[in-house]
Amino acid sequence: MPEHHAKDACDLLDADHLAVKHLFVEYARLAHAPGAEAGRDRGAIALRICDELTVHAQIEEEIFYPAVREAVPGAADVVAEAEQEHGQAKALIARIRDAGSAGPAMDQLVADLARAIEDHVKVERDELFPKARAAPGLDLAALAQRLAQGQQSAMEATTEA
Amino acid sequence: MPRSTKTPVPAKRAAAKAAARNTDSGPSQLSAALSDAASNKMAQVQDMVAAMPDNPTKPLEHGFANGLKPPQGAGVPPASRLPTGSTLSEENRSTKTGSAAAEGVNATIDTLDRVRVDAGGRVLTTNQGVPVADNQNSLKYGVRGPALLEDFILREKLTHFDHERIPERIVHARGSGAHGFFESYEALPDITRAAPFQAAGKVTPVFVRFSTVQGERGSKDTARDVRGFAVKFYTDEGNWDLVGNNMPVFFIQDAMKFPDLVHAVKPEPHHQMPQAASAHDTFWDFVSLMPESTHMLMWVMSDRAIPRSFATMQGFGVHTFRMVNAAGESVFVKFHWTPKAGTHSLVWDEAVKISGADPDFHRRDLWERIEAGHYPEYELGLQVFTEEQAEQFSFDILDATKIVPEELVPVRPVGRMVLNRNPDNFFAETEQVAFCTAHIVPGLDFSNDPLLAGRIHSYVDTQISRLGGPNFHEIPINAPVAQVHNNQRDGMHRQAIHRGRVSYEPNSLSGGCPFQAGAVQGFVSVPARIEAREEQGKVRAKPEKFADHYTQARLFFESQTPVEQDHIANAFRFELSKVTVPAIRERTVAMLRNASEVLAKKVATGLGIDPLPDPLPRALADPAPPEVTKSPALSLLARPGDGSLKGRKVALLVAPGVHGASLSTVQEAVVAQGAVARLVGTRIGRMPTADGDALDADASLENEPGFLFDALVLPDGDEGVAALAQDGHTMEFIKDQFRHCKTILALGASHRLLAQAGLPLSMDKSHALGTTGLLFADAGAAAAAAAEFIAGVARHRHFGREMDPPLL
Repeated sequence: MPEHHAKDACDLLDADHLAVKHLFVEYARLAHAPGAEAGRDRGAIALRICDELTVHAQIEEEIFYPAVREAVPGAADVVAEAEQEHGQAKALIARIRDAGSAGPAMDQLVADLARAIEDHVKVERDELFPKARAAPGLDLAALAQRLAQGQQSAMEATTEA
Repeated sequence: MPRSTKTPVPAKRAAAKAAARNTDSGPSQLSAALSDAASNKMAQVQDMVAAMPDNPTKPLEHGFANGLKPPQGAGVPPASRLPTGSTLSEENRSTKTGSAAAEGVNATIDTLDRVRVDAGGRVLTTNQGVPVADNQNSLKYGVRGPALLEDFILREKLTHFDHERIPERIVHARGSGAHGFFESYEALPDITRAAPFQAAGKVTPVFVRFSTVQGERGSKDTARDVRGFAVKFYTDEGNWDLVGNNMPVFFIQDAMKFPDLVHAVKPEPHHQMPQAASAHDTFWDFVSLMPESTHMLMWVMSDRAIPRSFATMQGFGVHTFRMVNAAGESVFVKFHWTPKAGTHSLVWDEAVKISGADPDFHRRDLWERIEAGHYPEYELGLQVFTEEQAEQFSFDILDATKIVPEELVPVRPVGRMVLNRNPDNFFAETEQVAFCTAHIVPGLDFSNDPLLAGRIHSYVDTQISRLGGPNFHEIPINAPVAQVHNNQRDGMHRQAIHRGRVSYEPNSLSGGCPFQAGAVQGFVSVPARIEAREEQGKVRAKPEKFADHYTQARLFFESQTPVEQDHIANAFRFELSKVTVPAIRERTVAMLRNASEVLAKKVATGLGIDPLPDPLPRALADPAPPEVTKSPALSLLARPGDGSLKGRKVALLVAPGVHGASLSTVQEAVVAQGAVARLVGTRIGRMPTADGDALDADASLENEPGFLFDALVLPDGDEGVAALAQDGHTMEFIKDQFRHCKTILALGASHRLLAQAGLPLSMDKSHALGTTGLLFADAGAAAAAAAEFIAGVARHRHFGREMDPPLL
């Protein structure tokens, strides 16, 4: 996909949202597909989702949320709500990792995680991002660079572990 | 004075001739005069009648056992054709009368060829066959004078025109039909003696009509609604109508509520709005007071209510029916039609837009598929279970708001149906076709479903009014291919000309014909036993399990993928947002809380309802635990289909200066897969390309907007891309294709169009995963890109890019 502009911090986080949504959709497709496609391993997709969301949550908690909390005093409640949702998601991620192989139990957990993430994404897209984008003191371009660096090092740590 | 009553022969002959020439009174004994047809007829009638001195089957009309095995009716073969005719003068033939009726034949059941009309090489005539010399002017007294009353040609033409319309169907008014055939995979003697299932490979002609329910005859095809899926099997033992829907359940459980439901969903009676929509006060007022509708509401709010095509939706018989074998043993069955092309739907934003640009979207799609030879095909499956099994189920199989989960009773494939012929004439075939749930054949029977009972009455009843009388079975499209012989007579528009004077049974004057078929050939109802319990007296009440209103609504919702669940929640949000009374919205959310807290919360959030209302009180506090809590078969994704592109439409955008060769490469590859790949231009017509041959656009951005296509190809070529970039239609085209999650291939320079349309930067990471359905390729790699594009189109939609509210 050709790049036409640079992403800001919200775009970068939203790219994660969209990417995991694509993975959730592909997982559900394989979980329901009859015949040959049903045999394809969707467990790997589930683990990829877990990895992506773990890194995503980490850079949000370590970089994005503190920056927003500082620049946008009115955003504290929304940030708190987002952090709470991270907690729910992390519990599901842990259970998916424990489940190990794909099957009806993992299908249910992944579907539950998809719903939880969707709620979380909706809060960020509908409430948090507009506040961040409207905040005069917040340099979203610089924040994007920090998020990208954090993402890279967190991803390396995740895949090494 | 005669000496003896024994008269000489010549005198007897004259008397016989004389006696046979009266239509009233007669002698005590009849004899036939040689070579005299009249007296021979009388004598043969006498002999035939005398041969039946009594009604031999009369004693067998009594008692339960005889009721299960009625005998064939008695008959006496006539000595010749003379005694059964209406008139001796039938031997006088003309070009109008033709000959006498052939023995044992009802000629009205011949193929439709008997009523087909083609005007090739013919002059224009009146209805009476009088050639019309001038079809341009009425008859006037002088060129500027008054029109004359005697102008029978004008008056006939106007009078016929004035009466062209018949009443539209009260429900299912908007429909589209097609001919085809059903082919049985195997004989099913163990479960049914029904004609279509008598042998492997047996072919039965069918006529199918698909429809919406709420909208009027001219309303849009893509309304959110149930689709009628009605199949008329012309079997060799009579017509069987399987009058189903594309959803296996219904809103109500008893036909007593049918008029209430339809009154509530139809346009509101004071201002006749809205057309072809359930998103209004009266519908949601009614259903939120009828919690048994919750399960059906899940289906209607799902994408199943906005199918991509009639060829991509399932069909269901809805009710529990019976199948009966030759030994009279019966089982319960549920009917399932499964589309070969898979179950695919539109998305709501797309359905709304299509209804403006092409209200005939499904009708056109069906017609074009058949014209192109891409015949819609469905597999018929049966869920078969016994009465004993049914008694153990946690739900009642007589309840039309319940399914039998496929995980509980698997679907057994028994045959396929192919729709391979469009009607010649919409009115004569699709409009006049009359489906009736009462039309079943030996080997089938009804269950006691109280909704079905009402339907058995209503369909026949309504056709009498709609089609102008009791003879609608004689309208060519409705006539069986099996012989039709009974003593139903007369009435408006009667067509059959019955030979003979008998229109009653038993008779001896027609040799007993037509005689009752008896149990061996004829339809015998299953002697379902009524439970000998006290509560089985006459009563207006429902069985207790009918009171479980939410278990299967929850099953349906929980069995959907997250994207499908989103669509259901969004549909509830949309529909309820159109309601003007907040209390109706809140009552509906209160009802949903009993089915799914997740759904109720999501709908409430979308409607600004905070806090959540208390759940509705339940009619049954402690329903039986369900056998199945998740049924993957209920998701549309369970049936991706054969992955064929047949019947799909792809837009290739063109403007002067596009790169032609790469576009043509993709077009050829897509067309080779059976899709229709149209060149959609900034205008229609020929356009020069950057690299050689002109391209001839057959559609324009203006007349075929983007949401009408299943996928999009954007062209390379700087000049062409610049031309498209300055046409505002292009951006809408791309936005809709993106929003509706369709496959988009951008060749060469056209990635700039996607950027201009607002393709989000945040798509980059998803794009790297490779499942976005957005493809970018150099013109030189068009062939490889086409293959990838085709695989993307076969996936139908790429919901990974769907956000609420939408990204684009």
